[in-house]
Amino acid sequence: MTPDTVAIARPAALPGIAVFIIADIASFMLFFGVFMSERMQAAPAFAASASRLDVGLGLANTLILLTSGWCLAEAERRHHASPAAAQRWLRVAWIVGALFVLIKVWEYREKLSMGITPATDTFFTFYYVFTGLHLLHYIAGMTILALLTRRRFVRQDGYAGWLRSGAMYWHMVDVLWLFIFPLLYLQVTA
Amino acid sequence: MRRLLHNPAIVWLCLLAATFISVEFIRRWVPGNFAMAVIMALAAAKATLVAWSFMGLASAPLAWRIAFATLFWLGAAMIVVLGVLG
Repeated sequence: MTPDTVAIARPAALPGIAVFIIADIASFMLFFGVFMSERMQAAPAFAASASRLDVGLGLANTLILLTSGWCLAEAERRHHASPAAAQRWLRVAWIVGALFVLIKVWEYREKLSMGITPATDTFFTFYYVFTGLHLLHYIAGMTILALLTRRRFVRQDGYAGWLRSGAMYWHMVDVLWLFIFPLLYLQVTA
Repeated sequence: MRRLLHNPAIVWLCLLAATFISVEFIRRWVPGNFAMAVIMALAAAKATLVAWSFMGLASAPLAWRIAFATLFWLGAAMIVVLGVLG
């Protein structure tokens, strides 16, 4: 493979992750459709169960995700001009992002201590599945961010591409939560 | 508009404002189908803003922008329609 071939192949990483992002978001949209069709059978019961969720915690997690996403966008913007500043923004994005996991674990613990499990009712089955799948995506994103902050783990010639793809993945996790939050926490009765 | 999308701090503030508006809207207004339509429209708008600005899709080919926007707005519309039917 000639150096020219390598240079042409590099940008292909971005469309690759974009295809994955589209497919992943589409899968979640289908899950949301299933949730809403189940809700059609028992809207008042879903609203009653949703009222047991803490809107404050959901709101806090939304703000944390948006802030972490902003820090990552700043890191990406500064990458070429000042790699050191970009690294600082990346670390802040990771630290802020870690708060989301802490709050989520605390929320799960609180719910389980109240006897609310995935078997409680259909709403909480969806609650644990949606937030659990999202948390798995989130932990994968945090691992990617951690690797990006340790530049020695990533090939330097392609670092910008890795940063771009990692950031796009992280923002996808933001986008998923932007739908999960109103769907579960801001549940409204018809 | 394009300059606004290239400034992540301004976009972040807009996203925070939209989030607080969603929560306050549910707290202050009578819950119902209209409220659901408003909060899901806000969710789709926020997702579009994240994709355009943070993901950098504002400068991506039109086909990518159409694919992402369709996904967000069609998803939100599906949720609202199924909510209204329920």
